[in-house]
Amino acid sequence: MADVAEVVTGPEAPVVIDPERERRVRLAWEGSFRLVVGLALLLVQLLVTYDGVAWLQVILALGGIYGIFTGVGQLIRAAFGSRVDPTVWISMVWLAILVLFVFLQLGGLFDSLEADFQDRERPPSFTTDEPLGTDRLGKSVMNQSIRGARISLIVGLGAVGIGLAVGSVIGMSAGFFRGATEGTFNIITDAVLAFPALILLFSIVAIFGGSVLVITLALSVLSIPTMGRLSRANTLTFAAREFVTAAKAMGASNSRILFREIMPNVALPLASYAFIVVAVVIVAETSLAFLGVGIDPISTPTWGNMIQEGRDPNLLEKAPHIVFVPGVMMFCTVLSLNRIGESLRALWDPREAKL
Amino acid sequence: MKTIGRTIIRIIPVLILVSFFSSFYVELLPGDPAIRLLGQERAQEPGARELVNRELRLDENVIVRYGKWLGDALTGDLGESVRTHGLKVSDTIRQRLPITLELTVVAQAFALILAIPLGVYAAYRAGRRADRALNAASFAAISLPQFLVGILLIFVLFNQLDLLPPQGWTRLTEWDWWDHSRRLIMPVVALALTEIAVFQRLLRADMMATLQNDFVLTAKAKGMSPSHILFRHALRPSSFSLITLAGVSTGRLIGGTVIIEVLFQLPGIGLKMVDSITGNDLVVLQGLVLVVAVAYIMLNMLVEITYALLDPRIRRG
Repeated sequence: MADVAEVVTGPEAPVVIDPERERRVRLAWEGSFRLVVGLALLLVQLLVTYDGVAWLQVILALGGIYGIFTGVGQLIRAAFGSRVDPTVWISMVWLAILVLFVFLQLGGLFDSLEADFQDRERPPSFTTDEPLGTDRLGKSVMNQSIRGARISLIVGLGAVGIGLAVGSVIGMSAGFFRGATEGTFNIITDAVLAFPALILLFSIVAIFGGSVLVITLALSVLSIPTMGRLSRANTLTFAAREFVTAAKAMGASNSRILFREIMPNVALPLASYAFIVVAVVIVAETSLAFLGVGIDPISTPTWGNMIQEGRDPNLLEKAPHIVFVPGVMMFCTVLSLNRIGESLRALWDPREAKL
Repeated sequence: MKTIGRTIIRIIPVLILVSFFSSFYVELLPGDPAIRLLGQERAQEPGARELVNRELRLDENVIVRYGKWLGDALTGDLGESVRTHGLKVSDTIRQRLPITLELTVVAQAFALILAIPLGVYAAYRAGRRADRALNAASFAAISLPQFLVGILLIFVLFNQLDLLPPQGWTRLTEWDWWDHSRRLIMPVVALALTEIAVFQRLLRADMMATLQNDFVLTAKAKGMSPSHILFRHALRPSSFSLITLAGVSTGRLIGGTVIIEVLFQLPGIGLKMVDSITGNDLVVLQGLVLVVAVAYIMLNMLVEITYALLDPRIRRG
């Protein structure tokens, strides 16, 4: 070891170099370099206006985001060691920022949604009071996007929460009692999941109208059988384990076994899967709005409504930010939820963990 | 045989539930269905409401109505649109289904053509830089909803580069192949992107498991080239779940083309479905929902049966 160090640093410095430390320092340098280049690209992109070649801008922006993303990732690995997955960290930071802005808005900041016809389709510019521009009616794109984030989070968490609460109880009962309970459960979940999802949602919304409550309930119609099947499958494996037999032998009641013995074990894999389902629900909600059958666009701005409004090719030419601001926010949110869910799933699923 | 029987038996209650739901669709709507279907003005016309009630058999017993509706549906009569007089739902489907099917099949073929080499390559270079890059790209593609891909394509290929028309369709019967394929590119890519990512990840995982086998080592020891081993020896045993998934997702795509058809204004089943919801043309919607749902369920069943025939382990289990 000492010989190597001597060759590297010369005879004047008899310090033993820790290869791990050296690797981290190199990682930190590379990370900072990427971060700086990424920020520079993004800055250049923002300074150029949309009159120029916008596809070049898109490439610059994507390159900048890639640089920042990988740079921050390397810095995190340099600081905390390579066992931490930086993409999971970045995902959590993004979700935290999103929630923070939603609460800031609830507290009264970025809350104005007033239309200003003198100031329509203004492009994003960080030097003005509308950093992300205005839409077709002159409403602030940023404020609307934050409102959209709020709706998406409410719908996503609401639908999955209902799915978890109802689905886990039904699924656990099906897996624990077997027999007729399980048979009925299978037929109903089969029927619901065999139906094309988007068309089912579509029909429900057409019947009951598009409000936040209806959409949440409609989406929970899909999340209940999904969560139910998952908890049934998990219950089946746990119900055969020794600790359940032991509890039965000690005369524990069925409800005690279900809620005190099985539920804590089923809850963990279910919770990790829930992140992915929240992402699916958010995409579904946005898709509905995109088709024009979502939450009422006049009273409530959502990501889907904004994208629907700005997707016309002519408007896309003049003001692409109306689509791309909520689009990018939505993509980041879905990506983060998927990434966190995936890493949690790898933790609880021993088959995946070994790979 | 037992699995096939069981699959078919399991599908029957699902089909009954689905058709029941489709036939009672109108009933579930708030308010007088006749007024809702016709709109306030036309409902005032003499005889108009009676016509609707007769057409939808609203004056009959619930069970009788379901029986008659199902009987009609089974013989191919899905009723007529109340809004646009005389347009038969079955004709609408005959005109529009080929477009939706073409989109689905072309997108699926495109996805498989790209995903198979990518998946094989990722498994071959597992853990290396190329594999990690592919993994990250496919993860991002999975998180990218179809409509965003579509809008991005329109923005770049139409607004910026002006290479492709943004919306609309040329029928194959007009024999303008050039225009037809130009209009097909963006919808197909938007549909296929997620599929490519999903297929690639699945094939990579299965392929990596196959490459652990002894026969791969034997082939290597015999000095065969990597591409020969990968494509001639390892691909076939690794492609079971890929085939299954491709079948299932073809069914899903038939329902999933709705978004792409609306975005690119392609006159398929999906666009009509959205139009009939916004236009309150519920007889049409009923028929379309039934056809799509049944096609989806049947396709899933077919995949399950094929899989059971191909893989003896499933058959016994």
